[in-house]
Amino acid sequence: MARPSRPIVRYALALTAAAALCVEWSLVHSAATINQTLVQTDAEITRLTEQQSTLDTALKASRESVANQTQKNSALLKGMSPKLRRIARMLRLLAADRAKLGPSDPIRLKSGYLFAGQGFSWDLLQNETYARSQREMIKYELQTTNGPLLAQLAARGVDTERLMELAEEWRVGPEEARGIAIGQGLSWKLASQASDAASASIQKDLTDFLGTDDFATYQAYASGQYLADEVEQRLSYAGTQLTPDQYVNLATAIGKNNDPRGALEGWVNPDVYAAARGILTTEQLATLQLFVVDPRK
Amino acid sequence: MNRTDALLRYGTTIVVLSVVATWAWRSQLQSELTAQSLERRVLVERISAKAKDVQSTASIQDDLTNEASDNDLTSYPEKVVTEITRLKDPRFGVISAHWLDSEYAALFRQLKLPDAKLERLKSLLAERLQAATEAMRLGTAEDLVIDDMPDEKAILDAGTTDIDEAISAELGDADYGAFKAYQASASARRFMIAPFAQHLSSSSEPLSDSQVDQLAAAASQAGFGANAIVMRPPGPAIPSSLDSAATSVLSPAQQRDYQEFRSFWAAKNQVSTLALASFIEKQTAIANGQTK
Repeated sequence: MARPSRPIVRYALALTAAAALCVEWSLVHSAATINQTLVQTDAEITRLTEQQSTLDTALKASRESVANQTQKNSALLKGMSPKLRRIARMLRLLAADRAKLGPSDPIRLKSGYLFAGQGFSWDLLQNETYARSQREMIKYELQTTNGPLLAQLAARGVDTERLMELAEEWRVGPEEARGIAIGQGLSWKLASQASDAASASIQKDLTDFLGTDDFATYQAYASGQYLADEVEQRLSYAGTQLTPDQYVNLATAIGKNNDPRGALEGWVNPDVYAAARGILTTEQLATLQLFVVDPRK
Repeated sequence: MNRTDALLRYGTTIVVLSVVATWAWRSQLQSELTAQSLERRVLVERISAKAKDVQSTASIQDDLTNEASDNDLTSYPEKVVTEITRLKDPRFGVISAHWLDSEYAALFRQLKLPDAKLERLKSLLAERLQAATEAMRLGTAEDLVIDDMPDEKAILDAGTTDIDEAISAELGDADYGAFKAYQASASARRFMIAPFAQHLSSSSEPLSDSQVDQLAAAASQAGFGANAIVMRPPGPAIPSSLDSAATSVLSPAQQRDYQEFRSFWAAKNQVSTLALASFIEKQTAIANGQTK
């Protein structure tokens, strides 16, 4: 095989050297870029490591603070009674709930309404629908509260419908008289006199209708009902329920014999207990005994 | 081979060797960069996680601080603190036996508990009623009406949850279930059915406990809300569910009485509606400076 001529070899060597130099330049350039990135990344890693260290410190402090606060809260709760704990819970929810209310929510208005004697206004008495509805409502309530007494009186031949008409008038009439007087521009004092006069007049009609004794019973029954209801409810789950007659007689006995303070505070005096001996069974008396307080002791 | 050729050969060899060496050096740098990039990514992820941890711990810290402030009952406005002082007084909130019995006598009849157990239940129920009055009084101290609050039920539940747990432990599952059912219709029972039942109590056909239970369950469809202590005026209309129940539960004589009760309820509603309208009219006049 013939050897290549010297010029060709020289040319090939020169070409190889030139190509190698090009590659070398490219490699150096690339390596320099990588090196520069390395330097930047290294600086970034140093910064990130410092940041991590700062966060570690902050986290540690924060966790310690949470642990301390948890301990404090737990100690605070431990020192609170169940009542105070529930008060705290309810206040928290009230505050959260308040935040949900818009300016148009009529909270204060309703609050005022609730605490303004059910919004009663004397002007309303001039409103026929109001007056009629109020009388209908009161009639039903009177029939409810006086039901057992009415049954007893009806059995004795008393006209209970007439009695209820008078009772309704006694409840509504005096206030209507006051309202009319105020509506006519009279002073509160004069309006009160008008109201008292109406009340006295209706009371006289009621006394004339029932007779003095039955009127006294009617009044005593009304004032003794609150406590008689309490005794009745208690007996209802003790298995010794009151009959309607027993209820009327007990309410009347309470109304006639009890101290006014007893009605307010929910007890009966020994005179009531003595009167109840002729009304209640032995078992029922045992329950009534639970209500007895002697104010003289 | 002459000198020029030799120089050319050595030179080319050196350049080629240099290329190989540079390539190796560049590869090493590339590896270092890959490793550093990985390290950087790990660091960034860690920092991001730690930053989230810090944020969440700070939020927990805030909650705990708020809780501490909420539990520090002296931090509330003076009016509220005064009310809390009153509520702390053991003389306050003694629930009368009358109130307790008027609310729960029918439940006591249903449960037929032994005396000691009954007394413990009564004590818990008295505390439950006390919690409801506390909610009302705290609301008033905050110038709010508890019955008007959007989350009235949640507020009341916050006051009664512990007590209900104690009642559950005292009664056991079956009786506690009866209590819960009774409590669910308590507002309807108290405000709507009790007046009807009381009206019939002296009639020849008084309502039985079972009839009252069924009517109360039907009436609870009306919009009473939680209405813990008082009924929000003017009160709901009688729901059709109660009319249906009345037809199926009541005797013919009782159904006649029910119609009378409906009229009473409508009259009561009318009185309350007119009173409310009159009050609003007066309040608006006062607000507009048109007072008489």
